[in-house]
Amino acid sequence: MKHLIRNALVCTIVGCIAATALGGEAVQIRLKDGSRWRGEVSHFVEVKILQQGIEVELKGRIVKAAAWYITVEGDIAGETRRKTIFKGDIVAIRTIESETMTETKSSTARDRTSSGRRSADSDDAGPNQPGVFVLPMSGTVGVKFRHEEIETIAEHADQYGEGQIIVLLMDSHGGGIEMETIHATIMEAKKRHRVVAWIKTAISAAAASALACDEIYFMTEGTLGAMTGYSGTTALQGKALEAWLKTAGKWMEGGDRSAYIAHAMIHAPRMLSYDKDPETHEVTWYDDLSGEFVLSDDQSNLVFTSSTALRCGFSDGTADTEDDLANLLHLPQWHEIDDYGRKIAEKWHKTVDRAQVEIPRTLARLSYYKEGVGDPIVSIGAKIQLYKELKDWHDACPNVAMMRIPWTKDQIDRTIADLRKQLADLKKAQRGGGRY
Amino acid sequence: MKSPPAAWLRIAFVAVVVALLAPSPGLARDDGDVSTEDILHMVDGRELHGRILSESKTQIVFEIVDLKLHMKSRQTFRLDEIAHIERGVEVETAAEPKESIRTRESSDEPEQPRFGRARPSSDPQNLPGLYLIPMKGQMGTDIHPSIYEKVAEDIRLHDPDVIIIKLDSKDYEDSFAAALGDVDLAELSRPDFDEYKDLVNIFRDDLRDIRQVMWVQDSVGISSTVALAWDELYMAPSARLGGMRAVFALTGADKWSDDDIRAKMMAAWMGSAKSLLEYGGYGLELADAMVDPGHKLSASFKGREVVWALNDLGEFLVDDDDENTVDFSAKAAEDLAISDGTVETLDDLAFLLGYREYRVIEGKGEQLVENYTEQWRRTFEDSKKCLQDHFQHQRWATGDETLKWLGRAKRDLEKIIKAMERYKAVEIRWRTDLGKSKLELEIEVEKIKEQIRALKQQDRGRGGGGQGMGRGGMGRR
Repeated sequence: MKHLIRNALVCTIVGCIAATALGGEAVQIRLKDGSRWRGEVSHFVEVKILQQGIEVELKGRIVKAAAWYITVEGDIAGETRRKTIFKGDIVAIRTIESETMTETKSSTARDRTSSGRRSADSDDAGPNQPGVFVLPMSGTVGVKFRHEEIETIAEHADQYGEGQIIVLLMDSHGGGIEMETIHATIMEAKKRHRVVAWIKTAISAAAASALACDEIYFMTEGTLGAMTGYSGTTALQGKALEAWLKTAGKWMEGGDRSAYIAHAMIHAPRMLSYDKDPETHEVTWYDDLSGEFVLSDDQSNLVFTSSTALRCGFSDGTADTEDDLANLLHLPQWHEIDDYGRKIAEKWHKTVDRAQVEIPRTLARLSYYKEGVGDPIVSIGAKIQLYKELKDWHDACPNVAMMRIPWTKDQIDRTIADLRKQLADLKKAQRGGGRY
Repeated sequence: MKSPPAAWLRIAFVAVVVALLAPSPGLARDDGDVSTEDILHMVDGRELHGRILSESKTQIVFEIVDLKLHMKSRQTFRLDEIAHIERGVEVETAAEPKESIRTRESSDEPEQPRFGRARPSSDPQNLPGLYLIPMKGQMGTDIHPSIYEKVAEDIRLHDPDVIIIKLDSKDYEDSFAAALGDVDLAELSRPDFDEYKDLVNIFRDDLRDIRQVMWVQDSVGISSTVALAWDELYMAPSARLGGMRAVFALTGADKWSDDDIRAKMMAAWMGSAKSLLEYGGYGLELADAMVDPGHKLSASFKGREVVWALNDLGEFLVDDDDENTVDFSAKAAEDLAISDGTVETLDDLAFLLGYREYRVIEGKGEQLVENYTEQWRRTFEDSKKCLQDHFQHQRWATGDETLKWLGRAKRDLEKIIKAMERYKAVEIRWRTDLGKSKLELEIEVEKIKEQIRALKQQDRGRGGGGQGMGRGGMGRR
């Protein structure tokens, strides 16, 4: 269904583009070889630009022209987007017929009903197609798996212009309610870039986070679902349950997916089945068991595997390797523009790993560290140092500190002040003793 | 690599087989017709000679006879694997002479590379190379991704035609004692699907350009879901496939009292189990029935494929007990097209894989795995002794010898920590068997260090220099 809507949308856009290709403001661009290109706003062009040292080719319609730049609307990494191009970056430009654009559009529309595996040979994309940024997102949602890194990688991708592909490589069994912030962050990043999820494991809050992506790809061993919210040993009930069903349903629909899917992943009594048209592959969802393919009965929770997700069109394809994913993304080959995303993820994960070991160690030290030296000044001084370390963890890794340190920063400050007072009193007493 | 005595035993066995088979002029049929045979032309291009033992609308049980190798083996083929069948074709050639069987002339002959039962008729290096890898022991410790990453490097180095994984992992024996509950809980599979996904990734993704075969020697426990990550699966005649109830109980997924949470946890766990079957292309209902005791299982034959149902409504009832998980014998697995065949020897397996001649690649894989298992287990046992030593040394740490024995007690713990750092399996077993984490031990070490520091400080306070000399003396001794 999503496929059909998308294709229809693409056709409509192309049709509109063709229909409105009327004459407009004159544009003149002087190229580096001294030649000039002359055309008009609304002309279809094929333009080669130099982006970060790489020659990138783009086809589209000029929608705006200013003294230093033009804005071209066209197929950027598989989606219709606008791109602002500085005239100085243009290597070559030529006017093309609008039909050429139509062909390009049709051939790049993704086929959700395919097996998800294509050979690179079938891709007619040129070598200068954009690459990707990869952000590994693993661990507990709200601890290792958080929104800050998404924000950072999106900002980093901004430097390369809009329309970059950001791959969120998800491997998480869920966690806290940070998913709402993650969802909002992905939605924001999507305004500028193509953000896709590549699923190894996305359970619970991780599944909910992935829903913000328009494109979701699975690894063969990928799983996604089980979004039931719970606290302690009780699942959400009443208004809280209704609110979560509503929110998750909205998120699901935001990605052009049925809200029923979210409901079946949250509340066991919510059922899910579907029919699939054998010719058009259009999927019709039911919140009961009346469909031919039953995904969840009234006692089960839904978790997709790669094949169940692909068959009903929830997944956009199955990719086990980066090359597989490049094929599905319609890239001629896997090319990571840089490893910034991997680096920031690694850095944060290391911080969390360290916090998870060092915080309990520091807490344990409070009971014995330098206690045996028999000098209260030394042991109080050591304690002050330990509390300072704990306070530092609140800044360096607030997610872990919040869970593991039983005191807030203010409380730690107060304790440190107490210890300093004790220290001062002791020193004062010692000095006094000396005088006597 | 096989030891020479084992090789000779094998040769002796081959010789006996040859002696038994050599007089046979042709193929003996039960109906007395020795002059004809049936020929299966397979869709993959193979041409199999023998006789059809039985037929159903979905499969054929066929006895394959290789005249050259004097071998018979029985295999079940789905009809969709067969392009066409020739029946009652006259046998054209008699058996090859005995000389075609590989024999050794002298015990002084140096160790040769391993080959199949037949003497290679061409340059051995041109024969298909089979790389054998054992997966043996406890899932999650003996069978752990860390060691198979190293094996994968060696596989790449040798670039074999086929990787054969010999899986032998059982949570319990098939015995009366086990049925009464005599099971070593410490040796049960660890329910860590993330690690098993990584393990499967090493083979099914990183080495996917190489043909891979899972050969189950025995699989009782979580290893059975791992085995089903391979689409080419063969079983030894006595092999079992199943036994996951105990593992599932360990997850605690079905113990939640809240219906919604229980459904969520069950779905998450089952999703992990099913995800491995996705690689093998098996019906996901199999995972449901093999992991969750609450399911029945039946099979129907739709055209040429087996359609599974989690009820008793199918044509063939596999399990109508909703209190136990489904287990398969080699025969049942073959009958239900889970296994591609039942084979006892590598020769038989190679033959069914389509290789009349082959060579066994003498890689480091087998050795790496064996060494690893032997070493981590020995290290683990030693580290447990260190804990006993630690307690003893702490008891002895009194009076004048306090410092000395505290130092020893500290070193005991440090040895355990070192063992944990060396082998992930050791760390895992310390956590599961003895309830101690590496961090806890590190904190214990630090506490002892504090004690030692305090004692030294006190000693210095009492008059210092003399003790320093004493320590020096001990060091020299």
